[in-house]
Amino acid sequence: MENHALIFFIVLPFLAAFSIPLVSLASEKAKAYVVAIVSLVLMVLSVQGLFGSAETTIYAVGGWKPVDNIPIGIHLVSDGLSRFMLLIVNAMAFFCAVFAIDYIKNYTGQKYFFTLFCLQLAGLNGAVLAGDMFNLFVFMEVTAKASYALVAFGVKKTEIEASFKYQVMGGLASLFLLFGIAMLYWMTSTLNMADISMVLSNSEIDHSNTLRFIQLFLLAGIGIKKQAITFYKGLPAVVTCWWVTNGIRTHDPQNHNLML
Amino acid sequence: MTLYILCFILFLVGLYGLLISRNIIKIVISLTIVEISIFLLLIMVGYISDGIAPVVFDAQILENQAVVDPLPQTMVLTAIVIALATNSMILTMAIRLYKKYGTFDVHEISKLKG
Repeated sequence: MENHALIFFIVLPFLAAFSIPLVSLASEKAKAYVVAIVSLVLMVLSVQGLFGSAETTIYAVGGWKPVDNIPIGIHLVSDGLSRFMLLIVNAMAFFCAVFAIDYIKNYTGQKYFFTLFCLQLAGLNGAVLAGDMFNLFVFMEVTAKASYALVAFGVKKTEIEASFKYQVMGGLASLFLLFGIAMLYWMTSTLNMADISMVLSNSEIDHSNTLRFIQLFLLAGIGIKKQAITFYKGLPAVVTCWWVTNGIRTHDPQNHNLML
Repeated sequence: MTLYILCFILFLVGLYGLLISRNIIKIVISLTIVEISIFLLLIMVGYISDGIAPVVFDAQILENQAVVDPLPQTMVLTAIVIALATNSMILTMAIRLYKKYGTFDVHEISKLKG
């Protein structure tokens, strides 16, 4: 089933991100409200999706049809989990945006903050909706770049140091992830997630050892990137703007005095 | 097979440099080495020996000539752009860190506990 609402979760934040510098030329106050309105619209859309029909919906970007039953092009997939994730991400983004309207008045460079905020929202929505592995990687990178910049936003000594450490760890994590994706592509000759599971379940060769190797790399990549439990120690507490889609965060009081 | 093993050794060299070096610039260089090794792996995944470039000239040529897989090449192109963003951003941070702390040594840049 096709669902055209899915593309709005990616297009609207990107549009908002790149129109904020223009909007702030016209009116200084309007830009905070643009972000709030965009995230409100997305939250309403995600609530609607959550209470809509229960079947998995797909949006094929560019309308590419499968050739010989091999899916080509980029697909956005919305199933039960990603609907729930979308609601979490967009609801948090809405509350953050409303909070930021007043909070960010004390700081300079407001339009950069809102642009980065929208880029991060777009990246998170894209990572939740992505239907193929490489798109997942690209959207995670978009999110990561925006969050590196947001961590260093105050340009104080500690903030830049935290951002540098975060960038080294995050860069390594995304390379682990890319390595895993490359191996997965090597094994299955496809990037589409549904197709990968089809190929793996239909294949007659026993892939379990290779799969374990790939899983290790993917786990390490996602674990370091999302700062999940065992990968957490040694990372600075860059919890300011990093609302996580999937991953477990522990609270470490030793590291807490750094950023907040 | 040797090529793949060499590629993985390059990956490990970068990883070792990342873990062991104290200089910020060397850390960035090591990160780049890891990047390059993964790009190499991606290109090798799609390579077929004696394959031609994946540009369609003529149906007849395609019939008796192997063509390399274009998808990993596209992925590498995208990944290179992402790596460019990573490198420029991390070097910007390195410059700002040098201005604030006056050193490139990561052991001296440790106001944070993490």
